[in-house]
Amino acid sequence: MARRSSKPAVPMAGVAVALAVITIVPTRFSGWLGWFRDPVETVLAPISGPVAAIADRLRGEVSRAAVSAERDREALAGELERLQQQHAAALVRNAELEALVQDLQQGVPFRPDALAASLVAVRVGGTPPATIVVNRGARDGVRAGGTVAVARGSQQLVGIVSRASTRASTVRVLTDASFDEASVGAVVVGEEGVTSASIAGMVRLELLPTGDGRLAQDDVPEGDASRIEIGQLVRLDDERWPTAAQMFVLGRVTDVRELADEPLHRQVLVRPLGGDLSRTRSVILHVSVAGFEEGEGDPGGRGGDGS
Amino acid sequence: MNWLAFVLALWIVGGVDWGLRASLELQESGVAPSLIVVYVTFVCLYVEARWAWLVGVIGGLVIDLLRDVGTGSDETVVVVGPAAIGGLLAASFVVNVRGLVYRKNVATIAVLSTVSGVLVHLTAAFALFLRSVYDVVEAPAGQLPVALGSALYTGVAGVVLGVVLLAFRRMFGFAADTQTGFRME
Repeated sequence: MARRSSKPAVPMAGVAVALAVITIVPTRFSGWLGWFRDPVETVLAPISGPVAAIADRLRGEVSRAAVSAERDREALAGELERLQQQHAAALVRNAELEALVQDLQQGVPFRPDALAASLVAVRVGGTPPATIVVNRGARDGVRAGGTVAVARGSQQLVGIVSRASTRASTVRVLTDASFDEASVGAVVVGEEGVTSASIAGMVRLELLPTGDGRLAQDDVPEGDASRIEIGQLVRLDDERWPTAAQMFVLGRVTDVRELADEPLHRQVLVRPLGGDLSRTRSVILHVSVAGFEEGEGDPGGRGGDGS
Repeated sequence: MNWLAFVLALWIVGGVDWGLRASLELQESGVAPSLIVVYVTFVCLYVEARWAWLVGVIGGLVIDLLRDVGTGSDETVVVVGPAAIGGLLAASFVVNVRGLVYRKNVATIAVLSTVSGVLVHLTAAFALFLRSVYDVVEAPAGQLPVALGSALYTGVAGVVLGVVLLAFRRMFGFAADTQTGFRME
């Protein structure tokens, strides 16, 4: 006589059918299941965060041991980039403050300054080339729309946080073709860098993702295009982005092309530093904290450099 | 089986999987191992058959909940179900073949993890492709090679994680550890 099977066929079949149903049900009906993601991330974060940080550090150590001289050069270049970004942002800020003084003198309501905190975050997932998921979340002061990610070791802007759960956040990558922002305002920085004298005369661009990891503007007037040289840095200068993101690097000009059907315009192509932004392993999150004064939380106590 | 030990180990393995995924990715190809699949395979080798399916579903649900799926816009969604179904299939497969293999060998865990990985990843890839036909979900191009590559890589990871899991096997209190049976020695 055959032994009675201990497999619970009925519950298993029921679960299988239920899983099949929620798998095929469209997102508008099953989207609520995504709510469970936050608790799972929160539970796993105490393990994944340190593991990701250690792995990232080990990778850095291995690279440093292999090419220490190259790393030193890159570190110095990164430091120079950081100082240039801060200098450029300070000049832009100065110009904004001058305008603000004029506005105040004319009775325009005062808008509080946005400050920024910086957090080191490590990539723990994502959907290349659209997003990366990093191991910092709302608990660390990160909030959607107000936090930007910059590649660690350079001033390359990676993207903006589009979702912040408790212990993780999703960064929308700047070069993703489905990026919902209309365009990204930028300035082309010449050899002299950003100075008080040059800031007003810099060529402005409105860049859009091309879908192949680059940014481009297709209708740059010929006169402006003639002032752009291959290899020049392009920096963010767009009021629609958080203040903390201004003057971060968007990339370098890789090509200025003539357009067959528009002789008075040129196409300018910009490639981010370091290649595919969606593969960036660790980033610095720059958190704008102006909104937190209105009761959203206090990132000040936890918002320091998390390295 | 000691379910507390199972949950505790799943927490650790899931956290390590999530934390190391980016670092273990092969040449920015999207090919990465799934330690959760290795863990599910290991547990299914020993757990009573009536619970194996549940282990597979739980492991698959964790994989589903940690995965962002693109929608072609600036939104990503969580699609629950594809990897859970794959986990269910993988658990059923392991339960059906475990009587034919030497369970305490790391190579067994590696090979079965590879097959389980194929089942989980291919099922998920197929489900997302199917869903992309009528839903906002976007099935990225080249899913098949990435799924197969990830399955092979999962087998390689199974060698390392298998050693650790076998060393801590007693903690799980598997009934199989207290029984004698057929051994291929």
